[in-house]
Amino acid sequence: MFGVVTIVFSVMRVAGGDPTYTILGHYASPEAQEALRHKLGLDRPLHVQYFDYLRRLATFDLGYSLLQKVPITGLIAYNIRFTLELSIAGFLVALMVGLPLGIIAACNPNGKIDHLVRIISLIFPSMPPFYIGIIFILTLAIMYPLFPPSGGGELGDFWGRMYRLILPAFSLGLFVSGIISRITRASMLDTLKKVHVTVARSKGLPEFTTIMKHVFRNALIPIVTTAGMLLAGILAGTVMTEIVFGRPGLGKLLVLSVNSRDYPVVETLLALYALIVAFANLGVDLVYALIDPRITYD
Amino acid sequence: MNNLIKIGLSIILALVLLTFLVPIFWPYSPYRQHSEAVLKPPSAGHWFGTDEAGRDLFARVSIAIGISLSVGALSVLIGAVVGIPFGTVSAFSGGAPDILMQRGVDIFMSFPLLIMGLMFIAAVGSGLWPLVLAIGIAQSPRFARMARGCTLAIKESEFIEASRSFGASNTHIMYKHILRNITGPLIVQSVLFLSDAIMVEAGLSFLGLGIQPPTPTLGNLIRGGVSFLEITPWISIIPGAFLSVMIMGLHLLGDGLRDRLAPEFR
Repeated sequence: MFGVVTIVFSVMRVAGGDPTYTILGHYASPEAQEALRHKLGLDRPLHVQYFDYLRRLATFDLGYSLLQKVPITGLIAYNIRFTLELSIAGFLVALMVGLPLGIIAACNPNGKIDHLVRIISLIFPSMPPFYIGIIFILTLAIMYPLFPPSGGGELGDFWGRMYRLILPAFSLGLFVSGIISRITRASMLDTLKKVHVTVARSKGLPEFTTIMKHVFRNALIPIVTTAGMLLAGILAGTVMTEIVFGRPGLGKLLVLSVNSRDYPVVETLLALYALIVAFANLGVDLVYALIDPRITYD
Repeated sequence: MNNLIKIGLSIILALVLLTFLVPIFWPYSPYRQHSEAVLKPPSAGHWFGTDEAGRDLFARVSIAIGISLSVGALSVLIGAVVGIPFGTVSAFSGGAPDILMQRGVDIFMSFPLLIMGLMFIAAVGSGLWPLVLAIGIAQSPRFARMARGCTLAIKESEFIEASRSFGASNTHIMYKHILRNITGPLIVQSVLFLSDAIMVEAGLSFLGLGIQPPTPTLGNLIRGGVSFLEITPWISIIPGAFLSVMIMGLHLLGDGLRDRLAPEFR
């Protein structure tokens, strides 16, 4: 985590352009630029800037957005809700669609469903999430107006927000579900061949129980590993999905600030993304410990 | 050659053929604006219709395919050239340098490709070369990791030991033996990384951060059509369909190659 912050900082500072252009406009005189640089502390030696950055981070003083001139902390607090909703919803959709499909396909190898699932798991991860989103918008919002094509909804209006979540969550989730169903299917097929399955079946257990309790549990491990990697992908997907659907959120904020060279915001957001990914990976590790009693942490 | 390879390869070859042959035979330029034929639906003259500036979409899509493929290929090349030596050296050194370098790789791998690309573009600016560099450097950790894995696998083999007993230096071993043996998984992974690179390029261009119009790329063609979804949906749909088909073809090719060249990766 620490390393990530360092990298983000160095990339932005070393390779980044000069933000005084953004603030003052292209016609600013060199004296004005110097003055602004001094005010922002950009002319101090690099390592001084670095420690100052760290110090401010620790106290959550994230600074001000250059473009919008409001405290960044406020920006993040407002937007993070929407992005988190979307990520979680997308992930859930991916799981709810991907896991059952994978399980069913594994249980009926080479059947019709299996072929269907394999085709799906080929097509969906090939379509960029923003494309899936566009298709959704086209079919479900324009041709047959069922869902609102854009917006995130008001903060107080819970059901409104949920409603607006559906399309974006599905466009994000379907992309990932293709991958999940593929891994699930492969993993289940592997587990099905193992000895203890035959044991369970010969115990006379109903098929459903065998599958759910024994096969699925054991097949979960590779699935959970992949799910961890997919979380990062979902986060990246939120950036695109938010733009397509016109939802407010951290992704949209990121794109906006990259476009306008709003460096403080970009740095903060990138660090935040890294933090979220780190937490997600931690969560994945914890889930490992839950599902596999053999794994303990000292 | 198994079926997957055949299908995947045919798709990709068809696309490549398209991108090379169309500019030769097609009457319309991808850049010329026909102001009398703005936003026209597909017709006999303009097979895919025209966009908001009156440019022929078929020509633009054909060029865009080539551009997307080249950007992807270049960035994969950069990633490989940077990442593979890094990973091989890291694995060969073992011990402290290895751990140190791997921590670095871990940190970079924790970012999704798109975000890393964003980060570099933010620092350097948008456009063709920054994009290629951005995606290329963003990919190099993955190459490094892969190279390291393969190197570790064969590092202790007997023929390496034999080579050493001849007095071969480390560099020599790395060059001749390790690299030769990596090629199988390398090709497989490169194809899959290529599909990722194309996806990221499309995403970044879609966000307006990659290649800028009027140079068409599949991503920014989709972006251009978004404002007109209600009246002229094909401007977004058609490039997107080609993009998906291209990525799908690459996936198929990669899977087929993996089955043939590196089955232990299943």
